[in-house]
Amino acid sequence: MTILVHLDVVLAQRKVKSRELAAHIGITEQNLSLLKSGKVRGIRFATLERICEYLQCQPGDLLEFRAGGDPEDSE
Amino acid sequence: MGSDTVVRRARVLRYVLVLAMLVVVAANAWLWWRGAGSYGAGWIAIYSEWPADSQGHAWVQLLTASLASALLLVGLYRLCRLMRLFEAGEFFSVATARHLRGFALSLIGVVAVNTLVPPLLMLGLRLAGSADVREISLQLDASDLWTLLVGALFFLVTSLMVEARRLAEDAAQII
Repeated sequence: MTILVHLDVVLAQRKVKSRELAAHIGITEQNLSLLKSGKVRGIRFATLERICEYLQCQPGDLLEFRAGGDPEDSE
Repeated sequence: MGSDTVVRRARVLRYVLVLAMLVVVAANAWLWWRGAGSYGAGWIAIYSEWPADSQGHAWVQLLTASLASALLLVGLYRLCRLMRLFEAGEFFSVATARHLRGFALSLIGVVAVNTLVPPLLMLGLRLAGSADVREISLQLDASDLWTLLVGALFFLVTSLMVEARRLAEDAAQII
């Protein structure tokens, strides 16, 4: 995987439950779970904006680029 | 146009297709019963047109008609299955594209059979030593070209449906 998603780490640090965040963003818990595990093809800026707003963080805190990975692994 | 309207229209079209299939079967049965040619029975007439060189070989004409009709029946059946899927709300599934492609193939197949089978059978007769086969011609008229065009168009629509499905799947995976 080239892009790593650290949403679960940030959620744990902020002591925020997935259900609360999903309700704030306006997506299902199932989709949030997929996002946390990186099993999505992409994330909308609007979704990222709401996550950052609720968790008081930057996009860089949630996403990390790691060189050398196979982009196809993330699909 | 709402989903209910699409479902209702698909159902009506399916009934029309079943009726068309019955007409194709009845017309073939009539041709086999009376032999190839043109017939009228009261208000209805069955007219069959054949290459001039196959005149006098009724079985060539009937065999060609039966093969073409069998392909057409397969195509109409695939179209019926497609309408069933539309009625179930499946508009861009893999099965939908497969049935539409099958229908398009059957249309092209009908033209291929109508064009190629009579000269091939006549050539076979000629090679077998039949003296009354003097000329062999390949005939492709305007209606055949239109049918080919429609078949090709359905192929294009099928590829668009597959692409639409891929885009929908991609969009569903973007959170």
